[in-house]
Amino acid sequence: MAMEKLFEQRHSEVPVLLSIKNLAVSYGNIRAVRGISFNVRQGQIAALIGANGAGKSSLLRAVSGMIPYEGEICYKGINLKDVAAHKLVSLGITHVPEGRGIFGNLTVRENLTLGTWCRRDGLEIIKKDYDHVVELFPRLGERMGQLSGTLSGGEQQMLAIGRALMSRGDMILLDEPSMGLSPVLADEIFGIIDEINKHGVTILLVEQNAYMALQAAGYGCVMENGEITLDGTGAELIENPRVRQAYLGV
Amino acid sequence: MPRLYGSALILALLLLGCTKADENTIQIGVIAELTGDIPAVGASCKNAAEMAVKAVNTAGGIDIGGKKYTIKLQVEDSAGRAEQAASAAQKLITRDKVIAVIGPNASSGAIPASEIAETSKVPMISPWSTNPKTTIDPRTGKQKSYVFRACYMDSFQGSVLAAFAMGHLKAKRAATLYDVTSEVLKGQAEVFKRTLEEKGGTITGVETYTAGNKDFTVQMTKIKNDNPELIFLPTYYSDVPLQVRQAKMLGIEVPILGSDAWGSHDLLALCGKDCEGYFFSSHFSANSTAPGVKKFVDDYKAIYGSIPDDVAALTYDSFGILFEAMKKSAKPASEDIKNAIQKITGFQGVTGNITFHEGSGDPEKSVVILQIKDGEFKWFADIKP
Amino acid sequence: MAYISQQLLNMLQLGSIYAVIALGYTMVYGVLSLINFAHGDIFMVGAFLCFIAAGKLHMPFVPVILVAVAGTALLGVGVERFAYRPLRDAPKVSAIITALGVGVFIENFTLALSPYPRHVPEILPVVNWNFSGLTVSSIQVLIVALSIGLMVVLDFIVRKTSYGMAMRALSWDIKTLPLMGVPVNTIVALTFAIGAGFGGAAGTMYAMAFPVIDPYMGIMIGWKAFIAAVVGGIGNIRGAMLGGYILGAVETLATVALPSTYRDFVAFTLLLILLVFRPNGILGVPKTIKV
Repeated sequence: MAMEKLFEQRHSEVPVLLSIKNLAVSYGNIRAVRGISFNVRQGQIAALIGANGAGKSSLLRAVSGMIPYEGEICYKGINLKDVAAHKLVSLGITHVPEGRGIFGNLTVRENLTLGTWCRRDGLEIIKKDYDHVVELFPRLGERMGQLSGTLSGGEQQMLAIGRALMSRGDMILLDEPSMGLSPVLADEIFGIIDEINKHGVTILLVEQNAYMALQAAGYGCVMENGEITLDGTGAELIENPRVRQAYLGV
Repeated sequence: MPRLYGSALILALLLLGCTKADENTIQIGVIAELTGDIPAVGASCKNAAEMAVKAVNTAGGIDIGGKKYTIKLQVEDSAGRAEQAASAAQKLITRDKVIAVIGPNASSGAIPASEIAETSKVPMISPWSTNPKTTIDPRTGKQKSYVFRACYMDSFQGSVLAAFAMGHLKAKRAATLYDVTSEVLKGQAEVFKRTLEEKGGTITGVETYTAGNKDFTVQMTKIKNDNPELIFLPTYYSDVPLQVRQAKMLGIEVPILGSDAWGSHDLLALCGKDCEGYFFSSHFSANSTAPGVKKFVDDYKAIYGSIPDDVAALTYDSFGILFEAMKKSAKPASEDIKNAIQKITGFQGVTGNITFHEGSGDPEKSVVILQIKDGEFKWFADIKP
Repeated sequence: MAYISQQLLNMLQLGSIYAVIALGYTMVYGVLSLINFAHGDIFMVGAFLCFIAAGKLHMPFVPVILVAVAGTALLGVGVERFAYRPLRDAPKVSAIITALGVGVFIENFTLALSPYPRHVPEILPVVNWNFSGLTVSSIQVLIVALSIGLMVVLDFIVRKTSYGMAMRALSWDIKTLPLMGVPVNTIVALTFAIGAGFGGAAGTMYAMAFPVIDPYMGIMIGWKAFIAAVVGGIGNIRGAMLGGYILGAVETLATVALPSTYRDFVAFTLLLILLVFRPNGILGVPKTIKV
């Protein structure tokens, strides 16, 4: 608790973008998320780490309106409870779901185009964003006309992130971006996440690969059994003995 | 105990309510095709039945053996289906205790209903069923004694039409198209074919379809390819417009001849101008000058707002025959009425002069040939056997 | 020769109508994996709208077809909104039963309003052209041309437009699509509107070629078009067209060569045999496992 206060004091000058209060998610009798609260500040990379089944993905799904929840989720001061899932993109939240959510029967280009569904700022600016995505992921550029179901896992992850960028949101929710990727590829993806963050996009990241996530994150939380048991800056958490023992294996 | 008496009393009252008709009331059953494929037939039948009964009741009822009776009508729907026609007959005879049954009109329903009428010994007159099996028991080949019809039969109709095709229309080569699932229509086509061939004509092709079909272009193309001088189309009025139109679209211009299955005024509305100039056999012509026809047509028009078709006329005559026989009976009993119908000679109905012969349920009468002209059915010829 | 070309033309006309109806089945199935068994009855409603517009309101051809298409599209959207949407997450069998129920409802609703067969008047004057024995009617030309036009338009919508892209994406993963900001309900409604509108267009064409209509006319034709869609590979637009033309050809050939009572028997036997060898239909592919 003391640490949380300290943390709040240190960062209080940066405005809160996403605020979660007493969030609870249940699937029938199973309570996946049991009343958690935390804030994501503008420009941050926030990371939620925890074991499989700790409730991390449920939290992201609740934020993007895919599942019903109790408690309060506010984004830019707007309560999201009554906002339909598909309206969130216009508000600036983009969710890259678990398993990447690639439409395998669409081409790479079509997947990227779907990301621009809510944009009203003109084809020319959108065209520049395609170029930007291709710059970040040259491999996608080579495969624009290919059905995305035929891409490798790493390429699909790139496509998913690229598609999220196409919506020009202020905040990207990333669910397990390193899952199923080789360490080299995972490194590459995290490099790009950093890059995106430097352009001013706030990122809320859920990861099992705690080390990578905490290295990238300005703020981190540890989730266990649907509750947040620890939080702090990424660097603090990496140094924390409990985290080291349970999640970093040292 | 009082409660038991009470229940028994109620039960007795209920039973009486079901079975006990008024002493002075006679129940007559009607089985009509009110729903199903040929609802226009059922509607005409019901209309004419109600009109005929009302006329008798307004005149103070019917005199049987010196006593006046009021007629009560029980109308049942056969839905144009064989099994429902049979159960309607069963219901009218056993539950309502009708003294006679008029209907069903379609042979598919009239045949099973006639079996029930015959075994229950209740006279039945089908206004419109032209199939031989309605009055003849197909197993024994004998005439049923309680079953009659007000129309002439398919065999007679088919041969008259063949004679008309060769005589009046000078057509020696004819093709035919009919619905194989209908026994009546199949019968008409077969008799037509046989008669035409006996008279030295040729049938260029026999094409068939099954009920519910709406695309006849393939059959019509085959017919066209054989180059006939006439097409005989014994099909129901709801199929005729489609067949005629498709023939026209294929460039077929030979005359088309239909049977009594065409005889519904809905045909005119359904055909538009496509059926103009074609002929069909009928039981009745509304512009006939025969006695009684004008009054019947005017009365019918006044009540229902339309010109009666042949089903209406035949139903009206069926009631005419029945009432005539009832008047000649000593008492209102099914057997007496049956005997009286068999003795009817020269009954002047709206569909012609009707005579029954002892031992047969089929009347002797003439065939009316109508032509569709200026969007109306026009009398063309009366062909006597 | 004229005879054979005439029969080929018959084949083409019947096949075109089956193909357009089959497209309605395939659209809805392709996007939602739902077999819209009410589609045959929507086709019937299209024919009745054509009857009302042309027979009662005396409209000319273009407004008639617009009324029929718009009316059935609205009906399709309504059916989806009130009958299928509440069951979107329910077991498939419930959705199928609902679809059958909706079909029976539409039939009987129409039956209650108009139990008698109705005649649809001539909307366009019929002209026959004669080419040395082969008679081509303007109605046949119109039906074939209109069907092919509609199919091309649909193929374009689905392959080239953003709404078509969203439909394809929806068929792949309905849960992820909202995360792209795409309103799923709108896309589903649009799919039903297009599918049902095709039914309405087919109903109008049918009423022009076969102008006697009744409330039960959609049942058998609906089943046949559904089978055409399955034979072509349900969910596949080009497959539906192919299936429609194959069924039209098989039925025509069976009627030419065999007694009429054999027609459906032969046609359906052939189709069943075909499905034994190509269980996913001619152009269908086995459902791929999603990565």
